[in-house]
Formats: sequence, structure tokens, C-alpha cells
Amino acid sequence: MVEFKDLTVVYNQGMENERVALKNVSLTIPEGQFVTIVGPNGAGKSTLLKVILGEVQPTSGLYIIDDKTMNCMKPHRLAEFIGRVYQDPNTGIFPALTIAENLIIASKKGNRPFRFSSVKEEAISLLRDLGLGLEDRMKTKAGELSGGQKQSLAMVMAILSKPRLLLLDEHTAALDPDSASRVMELTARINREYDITIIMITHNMEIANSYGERLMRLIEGEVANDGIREILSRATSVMC
Amino acid sequence: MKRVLVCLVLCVGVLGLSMQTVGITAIVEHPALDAVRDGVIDVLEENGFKHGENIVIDFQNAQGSVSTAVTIAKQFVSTNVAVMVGIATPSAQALVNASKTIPIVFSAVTDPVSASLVPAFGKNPGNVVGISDMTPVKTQLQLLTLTLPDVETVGIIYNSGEANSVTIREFAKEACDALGLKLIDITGSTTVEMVASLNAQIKDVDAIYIGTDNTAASSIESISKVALREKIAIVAADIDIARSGGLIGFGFNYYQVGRATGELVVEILKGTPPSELETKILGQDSLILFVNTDIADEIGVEIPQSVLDLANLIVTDGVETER
Amino acid sequence: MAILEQGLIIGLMALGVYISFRIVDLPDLTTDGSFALGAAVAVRAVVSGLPAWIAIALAAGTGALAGSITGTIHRKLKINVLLAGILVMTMLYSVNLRVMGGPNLPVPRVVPERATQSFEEMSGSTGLESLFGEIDIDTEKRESRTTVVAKNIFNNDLDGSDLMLIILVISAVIVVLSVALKSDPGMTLRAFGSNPSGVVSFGISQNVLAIAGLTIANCVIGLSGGLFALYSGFSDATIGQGMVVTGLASVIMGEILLGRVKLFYGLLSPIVGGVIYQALLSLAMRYGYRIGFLASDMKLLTAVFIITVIGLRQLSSSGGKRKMKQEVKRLWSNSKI
Repeated sequence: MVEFKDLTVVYNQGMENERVALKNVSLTIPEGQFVTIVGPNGAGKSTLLKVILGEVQPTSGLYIIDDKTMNCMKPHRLAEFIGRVYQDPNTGIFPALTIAENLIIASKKGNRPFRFSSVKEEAISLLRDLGLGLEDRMKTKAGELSGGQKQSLAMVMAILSKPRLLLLDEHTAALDPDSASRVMELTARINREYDITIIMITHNMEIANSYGERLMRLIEGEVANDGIREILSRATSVMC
Repeated sequence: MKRVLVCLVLCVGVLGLSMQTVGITAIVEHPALDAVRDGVIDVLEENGFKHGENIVIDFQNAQGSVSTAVTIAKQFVSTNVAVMVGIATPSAQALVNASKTIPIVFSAVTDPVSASLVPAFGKNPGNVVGISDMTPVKTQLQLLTLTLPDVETVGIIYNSGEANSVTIREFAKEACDALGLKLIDITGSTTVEMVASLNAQIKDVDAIYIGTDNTAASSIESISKVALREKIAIVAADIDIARSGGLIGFGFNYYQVGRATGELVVEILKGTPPSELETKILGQDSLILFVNTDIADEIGVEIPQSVLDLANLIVTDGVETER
Repeated sequence: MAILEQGLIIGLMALGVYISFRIVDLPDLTTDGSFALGAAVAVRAVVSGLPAWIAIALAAGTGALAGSITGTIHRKLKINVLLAGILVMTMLYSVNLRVMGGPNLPVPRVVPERATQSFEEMSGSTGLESLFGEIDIDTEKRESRTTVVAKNIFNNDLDGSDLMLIILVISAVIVVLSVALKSDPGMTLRAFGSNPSGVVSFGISQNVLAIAGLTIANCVIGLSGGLFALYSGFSDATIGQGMVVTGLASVIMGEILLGRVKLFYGLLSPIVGGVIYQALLSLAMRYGYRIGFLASDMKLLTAVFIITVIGLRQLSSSGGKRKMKQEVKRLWSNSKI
């Protein structure tokens, strides 16, 4: 459902610090696929995410979702069906608000009419499934939770409004090993149970090898390796 | 020992209580306003009212903040002072709004009617009376044309944020119209702005007029430098401003304003209600004519002998002589 | 009593500062200007014969307008929010002079019999008449500024009626704001303050929220300015000077006393802080001279106070306390040798 056709992104074109972030990238990600993207720094991974979110416009090429060109869409419009969780646990939640309020905000996209909503049952059950006991702490400020708890909450918030696509940018990198694996399990479960397309960036090769069904490697703005897991695992010297 | 101490404290306390308090407040610390306060205190002393002996003088400075001026006013009222003195428009207004019964004497307010302090000059019913520092604008401008007959355009330097200056500016416009002069506004709300405006407009004016504006008074050193450089004369309403680089000054000094105010306070302390006292301006005998022949020489102007004859203060060869 | 009355009005202004600095997390310097604007508009309205309630509503409305302008130039023109606030505050200085028709506008309590006369007209002689001839002054342009005594809602009698009025207004503001912040849109505003970039993920426009936040904050500030002018009996060009610093000090003092947030989204703490600040100011003025403390030192003290509190907070949040202890330990052990 996500397609890139010959996508090129050049920063500061024509100026002294011109930099080619993505070079003629063409790929198709079908619905429900769990893609992991790896690559050295500066390879263009974050730029790819930014294009998907509409924060950066392609210099040339097409960005397509469900056969509709998305090149000029504004970020808050694209946000309507894209969820995201980043490395810093404080950016995926609203620390000053209670868990309940976080869930209320996450339950819909766009501007709110004047009303006094309460937390949906669905949200509470999702929270319960995390197994962290957060459903009993609805009045706690989200900022008081631990890193792992924050990220778990952020994940729930990201999928609460049923996005088509979930973007994860090193979302377990700042967590301790236990929390990290818990969040990764959650990620895999989300992909399985809700059939949400997931694009995950990571530097952690162990995670890259253990999760996801498709592994893509970017080097210097181009796709260097790209393969569905089963095929790749049989290859000999593919991974870095 | 304890009992002696308690007695002492009580005695002092009682003494303090039994002594009347005169509350004086100014909007900001400034040489002109400080001079007013000194005038009040000196006159009180000369009439037997000395701070610490038979009255308490509580001086509070609002530090330029209107909110503080209001707090001071409320405080005076709640501590039941015998009489309140408000120096400059915002302080006076704060007092007047805080009490309808405690006697209030205002000072250094050019137009107390527009400031809604009193309905008119002279005697008024109520608890408010005071001294206006209204200055003879028309006469000052007439002096200007007499001494500098070739002047066609006069620049008036003032801060449009000062109530007194705006009043004076209106009178200056009237006089200029009658004298056939063009009046240009040179304004600034701070010293920096004022000097910048002057530098920008100095070429458009033939002479400068300064009223009793506080900001101009603070900036007079820079102003007179610019004026002297361009050989432009300054005529001022405030003698202290005139001293710092003016060609001619005609008006009174603020110490005298303070003294006149002090006299009103003395009357009130002696029992006269404010409604029997007159709100007034200073009289002719307080007016001082100041001329500076050195500056006249520097800008190439000759002060008419008729003016020199009537001058009270003359500066020649760097020396000020009084007549 | 008077301390309470004035402290509450200042506290209301601090509430506006709290909304922008704490709830929406935008440091807004429009305050000095919007406070003065509220004051100017309220007095001008009352002088023009409008009832005091309308005057106050206008004060709040124009304050809101000022806030929306700051928000708009900040978001749409991408100007740094501090600069945007300063720009609007500067603009308002000139606007306020126009609204008042001069640097000072009193709430008329006396009806002038006629326009003020000049020195020469009142005293008749200056002693210099021999130098000049007679000139004709056209006095037609002199207008009397006021023709009617205006009805003020404050009577300044210190009998409690003014206090009740102020408490009524503040209570109304708090109730309205609490309800608004509890609602869904209000929640998004608080979310924006908590994590400005996060709201984009949920399809909420940052521009709308930033502008809304500054508008609401300055609406409250304008309202407090209007109340203050009617309470003091006049409006002046300098009435807003230093208000944002006073507001910040009040917010911080309130937080120290009441702790962060809790009741009514923490809306009560800046108001309490304002009263405390006013009380301290009065105390300093009354008794400070005994220790050589002048009222002028209050500004220095306020700034030092703000710096100290913020500094201490920074230290404790970034584990600074631990670092400090380690540093002290190290210095101590070194000195033993």
C-alpha cells in the first residue's frame, strides 16, 4: 500500500551544503507487512520516515499510498492514518496529562468538538493486555511512568485510532533490555493481531534479525539489500 | 528589666501613635520631584513640624510603577495618616481615588483638572487641594521670538507619555499659532529615543523649546550637545534644564513648588480643611529669568539688552551671577 | 484589606501569565502591553458613558485580540515567540496612547467647570510684559475632556464590597477556565503545552492551539488590566510596566506554596502567589527602611528570587543534587590531605 517510485530527496539543493539523502528509491510495501530498515548513520532512514510523514517533500519521484499520490500532503493530514513512536519515551505521550487523558486524545484524529469524552472501553482493554497494570493507574500523570511503560503507552496510543501504518524510529533504543523486549513483543503482536503495516528503523541487529518479515538495508540513500526474511535467512553473507 | 523594656516599647509606641503622620509619595525618583519633596519637608520644619519630634514623615517612592503607587495610596489610607502628599500625576491620582476624606495635597501636576483631581483651580469642596507647576508657555515662546526673530520653526522636545508635557504642548501650539511659528514635535519615551528623534529632526528646526518634561530633563546633556553642534538655541521652562545648555530659561524651580506645597500642608496640619484652601499656580515672584551669554556667543546670537536688564540669573564667561 | 484586593487583581494577571508560561508552555511577553491595553480600554469605555461591566468585557476582548496577534505572527510568520511578544507589546504602547487620547486618562470623579487656562490667563502677570506686545490666542480648540461623572463599579471604601466583587470575577474566570480545560479541546491545549510536537501525530493543528493559548492568556490579562484601572481610578501609559516579571514571580511563589497543579488545574496557585507577592511588597515598603531596604530594591529581589527558584529546580531535576553532593564530598576529602 505504500509505494515509492524513483524517490529522490536532496537537501539544500543548489547550495554549498547540498546533500543527497535518498537516491532513486523504488519499493512497494504491501498492506500488513512488517518491514525493518537498517543501515549506517546518514543512510537516509530517517529521511524516508520524514517523507512518509509528509515532513519532507521529495525533490523528485512519487510517494504513493493506496494508489494516491501523497507528495504534497500536510503532516497533520497524513497523521490521520499514520501512527508513530520515536526513541525518546517523552515524545510519544503527553507527560503532563493523566493516562486516561492521553488515551482520550489518542482515540481520534483531528480537531475536537466541544465535549467531555471519557476513555473508551477498547482503550482500557488494550491497556490491560499490556500486563503492566496501567489500567489501574488511570489518574496517574503519564510523565511519572518508567521509560518502558511510557513507550508501551505510546504504542497503544499510536494504534488506538486504527492507523493504516505505524512508523517506529528506534523505539526501544532508550529502554533497558527487559522493557525493550517487552515492547518488541508488543510490536510483533500489534502487527499480527491488528494487521497494521509496520516500518521499523533500528540499529540493533539482534532485533533486526528477530523481528519483522522483511529486512531492508539502506546505504547512502539507496536500497542495498532488500529481502523477505525467509529468503534472506538462507543467504550466507547478507547482513552487516 | 523586662518590665522596663515593655514600658519603653509601649511609650515609644504610644508616642508614635499620638504623632501625626504626613504621607508623601512621588511616582519616581527624579531631581525635580525630589526637590519638591525637600521643599515640603523644609517648610514643615520651618513651621515647627519636625520629623521624629512631633510628626512622622513617611516618604514612599513608587519606582515608576503605577501599581506600586496604588499600593502606597491604600497603605497611607489604612494607616490613617493625617495628610497625604502626591507628587506628580499618577501618584496624585492614586491618592485621590483611595480616599474621599483624608486631606490630600497634590504637587507638580500641570493640569489637575484634566487629571480629575479637582474641578477647577481655586477653592473646591472636598478633600483635595494642591499646587500646579503650570509654566508660562506663551511668555517663554515670546521670549524666544524676541531673542531670535528669524526663527520660523520651533521643535518641542517631550515625552508623549507624560501628562504634564502633553498639556504644555497644547499651550505651546496655541502660542506658536498666534506668533506665526510652526511647531514640530520631537518625541521619545526614553532618553535614547528622544535623542535619536532630535538627531533626525534637528535640521528641520530653527530653535528648540523644552517644557518641564522629566525625560527631557534626564536627557539634557545629550540634547544640548546636539543643539550646540548645530548652533540651535534652547529655550526652557525649567531653570535646571536651562542651566545645562539652554540659551534662555524662564520659569521656576521645583524647590519653590515644593515650598508652596509645604505651606498648604502646614495649614492642614494646623486644622484648616482643604476645602478652604486654594489650588493654585506659583506667583510671579517665584519666576526666574535665566540667560546664558556664553551660549549666545557660541551660536552667534545676541540677547537683547531689554531681556538682559530683566534677567535674574546671567551666565557670562562660565560664571553665574544673580541679580 | 487593600492588600488582598490589589493582590487578587495582580493574581488574576498572574493567572494569565500562568496560562501562557505553564499550561501552553509559551513564554509570552505581550503581558505588559495587554495589561495596559485592558486598562486603557476600560477607562475609555467608562469615560464614554458605557456601563462598567461592558468596559471590563471590552478590556478582556481587546486583551484576547492582542494575544491572538502575538500567536499569529509567531506561528504564521515563524517569528520566535519571545520576539513576537515584544513586538506586540511595543505596538500596544502606541495603541494605548491613542485609546486614552493621551498618556493618562482618569475615571472622572469631578466635573470640570471649564477647560484649563494657561499660566498667563490665570495669574495675569509674569513680570516680563514690558518686553512684548499683546498677542491673540485662539482658545477655541481647548476642549474639556469630561462632561459626566462616570459610574465606577468600585467604590474604594475598604468595606468589603470591592473585595466581594473581585472575588466574584476571579471565581467566574476560574470556573469557566476549569470547564474549558476539562473539555476535549481544552485537553488538546494542555497536551500541546506538554508535548508540542506530539499533537501533530493526532491530527491536531499546532498553529490553532498556540494561537488559542495566547489568546486566552491575554484575555485574562486584559481583564485584570481593566479591573486594575477601574480600581485605581485611572489608566496611564506606564501602567503595564514590569507586569510580566511580577506575574512570573507570583506564579512561582504560588507553586512553592501550593505545590504544582492539583486543584482546578493549578489555576489557584498564581492567584495566591499574587496576593503573597503584594503582601511582601507592602511589608517591604512599610518596614524595609529599617534594614536599609528601599522599595526600589524590590525589583532586584524579585528577579533574584525567580533566578534562584528556577536554578534550584534545574539542579534537582537533572540529578544536580547528586552531582553537588559528589562534588562537595570530593572537595572535602581533598582538603583533608
